[in-house]
Amino acid sequence: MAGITTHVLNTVTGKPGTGMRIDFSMLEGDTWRLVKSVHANADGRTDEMILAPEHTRVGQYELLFYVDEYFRAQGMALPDPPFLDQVPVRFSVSDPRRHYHVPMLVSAWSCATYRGS
Amino acid sequence: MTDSSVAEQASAGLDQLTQAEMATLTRLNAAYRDRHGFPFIIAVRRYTKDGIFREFTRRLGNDSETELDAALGQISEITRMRLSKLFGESPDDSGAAQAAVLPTGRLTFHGIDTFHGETIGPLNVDVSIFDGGNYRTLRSFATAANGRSDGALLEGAAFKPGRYELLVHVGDYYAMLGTTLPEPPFVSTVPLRFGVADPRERHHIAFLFGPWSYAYYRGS
Repeated sequence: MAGITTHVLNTVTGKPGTGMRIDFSMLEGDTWRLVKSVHANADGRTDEMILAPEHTRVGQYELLFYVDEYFRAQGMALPDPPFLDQVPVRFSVSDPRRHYHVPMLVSAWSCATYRGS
Repeated sequence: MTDSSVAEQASAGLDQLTQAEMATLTRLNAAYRDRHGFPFIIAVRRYTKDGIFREFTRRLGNDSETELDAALGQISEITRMRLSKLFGESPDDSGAAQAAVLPTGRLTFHGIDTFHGETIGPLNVDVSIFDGGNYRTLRSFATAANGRSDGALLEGAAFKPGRYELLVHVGDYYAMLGTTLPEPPFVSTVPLRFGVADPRERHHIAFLFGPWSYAYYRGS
């Protein structure tokens, strides 16, 4: 499998980040172009791949995670501005024949990402 | 206005408002005075322009008793800063005498290379604050030995509530070390965005990174 996928995990509850909004953009020249805006499903993944293999090229991409909106919707009291609001993850694809799984593990005070599988 | 007020308002960019911002400010001022019966008071040196508008809007919704307390607190803050200036301390600088007067919140950073097990050599970082619709660079620095910032990046009155970004040049760091990675590397220029609600508190940004992963959190 190739293409780009993601997965949101809420590390406060250990549950999938269901409902979190994710914006996906790609770098074209000097500007980030918004490609799509999606929400994490019941499993914390997205119903469709973020980017299908046939559309994936060598280049730079961004996943923007709406962390503050998500935790507030869970009823969490957070300061204004919150420590984490919209968290961008920027990464490059160097080999489009390979799969790039880019998860987001997040609490209100920490986040982590990596190339997974 | 007094000379102090003019200089303080200029420090937050209030002397360079667009027409739309000026109209908003006039409307907020009138609404605030209508609701609470006294003018809006804020220690402008403690805030960015965006921060002032955010505080204005938020405090407009408070009840008048809460606002009277807030206004008195702000007056005391303004007085403290003006006094420390009179005694030769720049309110935008750190300094032992000022630290005795003002709260001692500060921003620090530690980047840890989990691929090599230690941070070898300098990591370049740009510090920005969100103001007027964009991230504006405040300063750039290279980490000292072991990946730490050399002292505070921001402190005292220069450390304002707001939205910050640390742009960490991880790609350049691994290129400098000659680490073999695909081109372009998976992790390259990493934006670490975070908010500071109370700059009187210590804010330590811990950043664990490798060529294929990173994490950051509010440390201590």
